[in-house]
Amino acid sequence: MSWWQNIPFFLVWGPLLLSSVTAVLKPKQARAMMLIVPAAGTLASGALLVSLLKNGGGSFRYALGAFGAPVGNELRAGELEAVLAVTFCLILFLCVLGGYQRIRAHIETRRQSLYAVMVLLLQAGMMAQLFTNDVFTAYVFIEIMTIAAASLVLARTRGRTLFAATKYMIMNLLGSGLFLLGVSILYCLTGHLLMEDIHDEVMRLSATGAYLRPLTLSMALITIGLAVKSALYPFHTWLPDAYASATPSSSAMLASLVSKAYIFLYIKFVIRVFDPAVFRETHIQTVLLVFSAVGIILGSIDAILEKKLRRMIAYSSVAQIGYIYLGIALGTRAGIAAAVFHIIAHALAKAVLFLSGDRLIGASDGDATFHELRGAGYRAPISGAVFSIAACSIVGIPILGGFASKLYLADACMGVDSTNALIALIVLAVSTALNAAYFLITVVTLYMKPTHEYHTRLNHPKVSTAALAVFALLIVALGVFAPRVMSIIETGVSHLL
Amino acid sequence: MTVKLMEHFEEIAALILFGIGFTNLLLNRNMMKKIIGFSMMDSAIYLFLASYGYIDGRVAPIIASESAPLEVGMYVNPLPAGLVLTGIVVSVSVTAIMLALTVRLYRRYHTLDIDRIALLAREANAH
Repeated sequence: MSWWQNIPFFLVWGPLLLSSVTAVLKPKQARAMMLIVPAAGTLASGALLVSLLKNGGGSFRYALGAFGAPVGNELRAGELEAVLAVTFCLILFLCVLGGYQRIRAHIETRRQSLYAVMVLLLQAGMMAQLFTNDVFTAYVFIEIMTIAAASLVLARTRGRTLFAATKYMIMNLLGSGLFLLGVSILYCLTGHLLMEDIHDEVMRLSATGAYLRPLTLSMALITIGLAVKSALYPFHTWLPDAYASATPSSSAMLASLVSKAYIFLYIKFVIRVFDPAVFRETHIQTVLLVFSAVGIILGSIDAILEKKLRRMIAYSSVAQIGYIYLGIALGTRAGIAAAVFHIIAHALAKAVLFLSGDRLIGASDGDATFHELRGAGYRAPISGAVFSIAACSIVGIPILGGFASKLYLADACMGVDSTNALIALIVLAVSTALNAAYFLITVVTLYMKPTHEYHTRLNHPKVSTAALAVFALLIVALGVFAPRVMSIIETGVSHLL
Repeated sequence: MTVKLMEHFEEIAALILFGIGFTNLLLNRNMMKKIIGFSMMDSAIYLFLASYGYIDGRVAPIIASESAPLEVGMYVNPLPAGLVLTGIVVSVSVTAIMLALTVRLYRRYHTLDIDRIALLAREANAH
């Protein structure tokens, strides 16, 4: 075993250990930890990715503790996990940096170290979702992430965050309850907790046709559980309040990272636990396709009807999550690769929309209605420019990341020969028009002539502004280097099987 | 069919309890009853797992003495018990957080009714 194969373990365990250290640090040191640990995570996962690629790719399993498979706990890593780990850690770092000044302003000083603890727990939880090979460990870290995410919403005590966090907790507990029941039934059916072993048993069951109904039930429970937690359309009711009222860094983390970690776990379930063939056979694929198609359209319409900027960005997440599930629901390798690419593209764009959107609101005397946002692009030039780039990426303007991801998604639809693919293509076309309707109008509003004078002066630290600029560069880079990123993702997806 | 139902009455009871707990957590307006519903829901899953791991007439997998025979056939499956213990720890911490949230909600809005709290939060936002 090479030294770099230990990295996934430290990516999970490091933030977990440091979070308990951070709890006793002074606020100033804790705030530093909040930046250092995600940055270290980015470097470590970057090293993992480079080492994996240098050694010809592939994947490896890493046993934890004295017991080996099939009873022991395991981690697993491949190119796909490494790429997403780099993305998640980097975005987490930039989210904290980009909203640093707001974190200091929104959260009481004595509570700032607790906020740092929750950020680190969130990082540990996300890394565990990426790397774990054990379904019950996935459940435990799902709950850790739920608690961390709710606390991140709750950290800002003003406004309706308290109610939003309660609603978030209730909906997420329902989701994790369903997930746990699904995992328990699956364990009873197969007698295993490690993903490969469950997969073998599931293949045996589906070959004989025995226990098909309990198997479908467990898969449906896991699907609904994770769909609630990642805000797929009919289960998204907790989302707008939670995203719109928290401090901007928290909103950015929740919208761009937390839901994506759950979706990646679901992808692992579809490919590694159940088989894509079983996924198709049980018709859960079709149900998922309907939900995501409806979600894309209705989420966009909700966003168009919304009068406040941050709530509009929140509703646009519902539509974007729909895209990712649409890719998964195609059930093909190309569809899942497109879904993973969209995870990255959307995570980058959504985080920067929340961070720069908040600055634009700040430059308009704190009023988030569109009428007041007129001319905000002149008052906060960098934020305006970055916001416009991210909005264009989500709409799908060429050379940006979002364009490439929509292209791959459409391409994946073309590869499937059924009416499902036709529906998916029509939904893609209609929703692009709807996306353009609300995002481009917002961008135009930012550069319209203001109706009156504004007095607020912004004093964001230069590093935070630099973080926003880095986001914008990453969005462009993702679009330019899309074929390279996609080829890594595609080999990663093929190694998942 | 009835014989099968009788054989699996623990699992069936667990699923019914899960349903009751789930509905309570989702639909009940009172925060405290929601939390009770959550506890029921999680306990039902633990019942489900524990009954799966238990095998009639066998003992807990603890090696009492060096001379005792070590036969797998004597013992129940220890893994589900491990899962249940882990799950209990998780649900205790989640319950604690929910209770803390309820205390704060009550201090601010002076009610436990989630619908009224939603209304009050919206009103406070409008001003």
